[in-house]
Amino acid sequence: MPTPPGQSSSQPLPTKELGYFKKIVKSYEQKQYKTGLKFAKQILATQGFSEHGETLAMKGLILNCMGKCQEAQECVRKGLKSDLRSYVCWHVYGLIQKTEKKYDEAIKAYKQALKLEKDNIQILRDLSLLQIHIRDFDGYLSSKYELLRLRQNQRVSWLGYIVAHHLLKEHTLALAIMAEYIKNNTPPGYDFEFSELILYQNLIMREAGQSDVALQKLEENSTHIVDKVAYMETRANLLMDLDQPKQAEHVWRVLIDRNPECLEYYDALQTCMGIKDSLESPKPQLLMLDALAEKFKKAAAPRRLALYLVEGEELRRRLHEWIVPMLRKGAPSLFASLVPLYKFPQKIAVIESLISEYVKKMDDEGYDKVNLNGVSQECEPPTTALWLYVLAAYHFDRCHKTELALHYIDRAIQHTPTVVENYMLKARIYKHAGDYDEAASWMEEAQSLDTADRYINGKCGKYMLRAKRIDEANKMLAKFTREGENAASHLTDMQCMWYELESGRAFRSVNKYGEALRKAHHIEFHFNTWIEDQYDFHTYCLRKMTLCSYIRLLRMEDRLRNADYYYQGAKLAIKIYLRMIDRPDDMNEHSALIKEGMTDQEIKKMKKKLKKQKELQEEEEKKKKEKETKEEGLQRGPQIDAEALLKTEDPLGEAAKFCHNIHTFGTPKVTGYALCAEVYQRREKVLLVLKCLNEGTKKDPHHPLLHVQKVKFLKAWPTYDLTGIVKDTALSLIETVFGAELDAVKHNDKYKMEHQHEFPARLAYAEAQCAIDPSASVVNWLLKSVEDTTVNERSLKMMLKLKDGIEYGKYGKWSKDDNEKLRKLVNGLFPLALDFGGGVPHKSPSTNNSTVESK
Amino acid sequence: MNIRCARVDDLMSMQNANLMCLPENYQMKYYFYHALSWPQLSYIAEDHKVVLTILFCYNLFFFQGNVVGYVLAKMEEDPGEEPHGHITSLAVKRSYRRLGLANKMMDQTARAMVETYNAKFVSLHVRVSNRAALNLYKNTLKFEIVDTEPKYYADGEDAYAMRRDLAKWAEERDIEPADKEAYAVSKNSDDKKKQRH
Repeated sequence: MPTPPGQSSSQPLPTKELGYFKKIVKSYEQKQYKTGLKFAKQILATQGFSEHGETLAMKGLILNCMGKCQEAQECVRKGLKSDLRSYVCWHVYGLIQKTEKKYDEAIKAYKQALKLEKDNIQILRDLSLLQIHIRDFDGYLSSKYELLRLRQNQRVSWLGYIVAHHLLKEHTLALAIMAEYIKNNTPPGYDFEFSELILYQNLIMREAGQSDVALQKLEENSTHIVDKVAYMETRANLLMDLDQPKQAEHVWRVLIDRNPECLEYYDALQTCMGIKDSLESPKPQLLMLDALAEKFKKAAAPRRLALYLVEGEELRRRLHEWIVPMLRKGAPSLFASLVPLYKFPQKIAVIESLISEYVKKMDDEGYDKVNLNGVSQECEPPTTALWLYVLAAYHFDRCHKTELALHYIDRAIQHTPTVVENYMLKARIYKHAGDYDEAASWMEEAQSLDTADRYINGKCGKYMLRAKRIDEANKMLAKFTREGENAASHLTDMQCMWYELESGRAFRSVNKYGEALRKAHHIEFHFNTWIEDQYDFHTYCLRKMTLCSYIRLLRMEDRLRNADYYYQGAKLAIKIYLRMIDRPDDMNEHSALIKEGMTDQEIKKMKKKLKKQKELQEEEEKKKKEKETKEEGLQRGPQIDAEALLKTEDPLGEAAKFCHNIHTFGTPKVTGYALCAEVYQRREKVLLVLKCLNEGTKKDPHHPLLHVQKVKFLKAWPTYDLTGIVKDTALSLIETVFGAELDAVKHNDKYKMEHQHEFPARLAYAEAQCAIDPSASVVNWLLKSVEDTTVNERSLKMMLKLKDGIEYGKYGKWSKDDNEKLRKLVNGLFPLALDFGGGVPHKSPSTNNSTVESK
Repeated sequence: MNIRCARVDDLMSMQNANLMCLPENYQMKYYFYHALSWPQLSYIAEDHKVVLTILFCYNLFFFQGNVVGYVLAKMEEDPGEEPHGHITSLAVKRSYRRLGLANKMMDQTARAMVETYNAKFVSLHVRVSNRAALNLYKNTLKFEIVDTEPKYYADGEDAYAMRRDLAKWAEERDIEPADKEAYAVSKNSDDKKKQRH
């Protein structure tokens, strides 16, 4: 017999009080928290029960639900102290620890509760949920076993037990129990849940490597499976695994028939037909695609895929057939469909020659008389010219020919001044050319033409952030967020990643590092929320039977932080933490006011003034925040304070937290490993540095940022004093990463020789050189590199890296003259880039002076 | 563009696309809820980036997706009503419009609604002021306005409740409903209702 709560403890309640206690439990279950607290008060006011453990526990639990976490914690602790032999107190203590995300503590508490009250279903459930949540599969299995033992007639007990075995890769056991369950529970007719179950069974079979059984079971149960796409895709894949390509081919063709826009089907079909990557001529893949294109007239996929397979005249012919109808239809997405082709230089040449030909024809024959297909047919609709100019503008923008891009976009605007996309494109061209102010103002123009569209609104906000117009950006974005609320808090509430990242970068660009860090921590917060979000689904999916999707969810959550947004946010944070260490004065946002050549006294005076200013500002912010808190009542979302972040005692430790999340689950970014190596290097975590260098090298052995870290490591290596297994591991990793060359200088020189035509590599060499020898002079060599036409990738992005690096001190000492030389050189290359003194001259805003640039 | 059924792994990009395109936004958990309740119903359109790699001296390339449009869909599981689907959210990024992506995705979703859940129709809401969307639903996707719901949106705007019949659509395309018998029965009772009116 289980003991009822209220009587389970060393402090059993008399009848009247027990009645109150039951009412507390009921009120809690019905979420009538205030009523619950009232009854709790009654008991606690009774003589002899003022410290009643289970009542205090329940009170704490209710307070926790009301968001009064601090009070709840104290209450529950007090309750547990006064009644250590009550399972209720332990259970509640566990629940509270769980909401505080102290999972290990919570699990210990649940287990303690179960010792006192064996076979309590609710506690077992709570325990099992946490176990799966933290991926303690063994624990999960044993809890699920207990639950099955206690509730054999419940479906979720069986499913939980099967899932537990599956996650432990105990496929045979999982399948045996599954077979038993299916034998006794096969429905007569349509049953969605059974359909899902069969597909889950199949998933386990495939993961167990039993393709033949899987196929057989799939066929046997085919009438039960109502997820047709999953059925057919699984079937086709199994047939391929079992080396029956003819049959598989048939299934893929049926799938293409259903959805001719799914690229994966075409890929699989080629494999089945044995023509994937075939080098025969004419290419058999092409014949297949053409036949399908003929069959599915409206499908874009087979036509577009063919563009990757052909070159020269054939490509030209096919592109012509692809481009002209889209120009006539006026699809703004035409260029987007060509973008992937720009990976192949010969294809770019074909695109460019086609565009030039069309433009010439337009110019020669007049846009209202021309026909792009020949002479005999009807003439083009007037909009063809418009979309052609747009295409040309995109093309030249992509090829970094800013002047031509602007020329064509202006022609497009002249042709039809009302097309919103044209202004968006113009803004984009300026953005790429480095004039963020001009870009933002053209995006504003676009936005004003279509104020009801959120896409443009968002772009406009983003461009304003790039132009460091943070307040205006927020005002713009607020047009689409909840009324009476500032845009930032709404967008954070909605987990809007692009905003967190862009505004974080914008704050960084105006030296507000605290605010920038705050945004990065928001991103961290969102990812934590998404990990928490899975908790409810541990129960839900077992009931809904959507187990394949559930397993996918678990696996996705495990590598959630591989997402690009996470990496970008973490990078933002880590670099600011490193800056705190390297350049503490930067953290004062007005530090730029302290200039070289000022006397000590002047500096002192300035610092005093700045301090006062800052205090005033802080006071104001505080007031503002208090006002907001009052207005909004209880604040939602992350409560992260920018100033507090800046005051951290251990910036390196904070950075390392982000690093842990980047590399532990294997980031797809080689730069991620480089960044982590930098942090671990400073913490002298030799093995972690080597792990990151090794993983990074596997991805891209020559990556410039990784190279810098490698050299830094080689320089530091002789200073480390390692012994035993650590040393052995380190040595073996070193051999994998570096081979025989362990001299930092030689390693760096070799890199310089091998990559002398790549600008990013030159930057890396220079940085590494200065790391080896802080007095090294790389100034002239870098300046020469900037103007050396034999050096590739001298992009604006790289020039900005150089400039930022110089300011940071990565490239040794640069005099005022050196900086001015650099500015002039880059200005020559990128005359519109604001960061190098360029940009559109602003006499009157609307004149099209953009053609003054020269290249 | 690649059109395929949305997987759990796509949800983050879907949320991102939603935040870029539409004023109605949802937290991630709501996307999870869709994908884990009705895994067949949501679709995405993704554009691809070409990634070049070198493998055994061959220059190879593969595609990497980027969500440019999506349909987030569910079933209304009200026991009193016949089974029907509902479009929670649909968006295509502005730079990918006029390619018929919404149409193609919606057809896939509708098909799954019939095949997996026996849906008789699919419903959705649209802002009365959103002419572009209204035009798409009405003319391209053959939805009809069945009702106006006052102040449906958080900002006080009204919504049109729209519906698209799936029974006839499915029949014309030889799409088999999940439960043929039940589908036929409810169809007959529908006809009767119509006759009575």
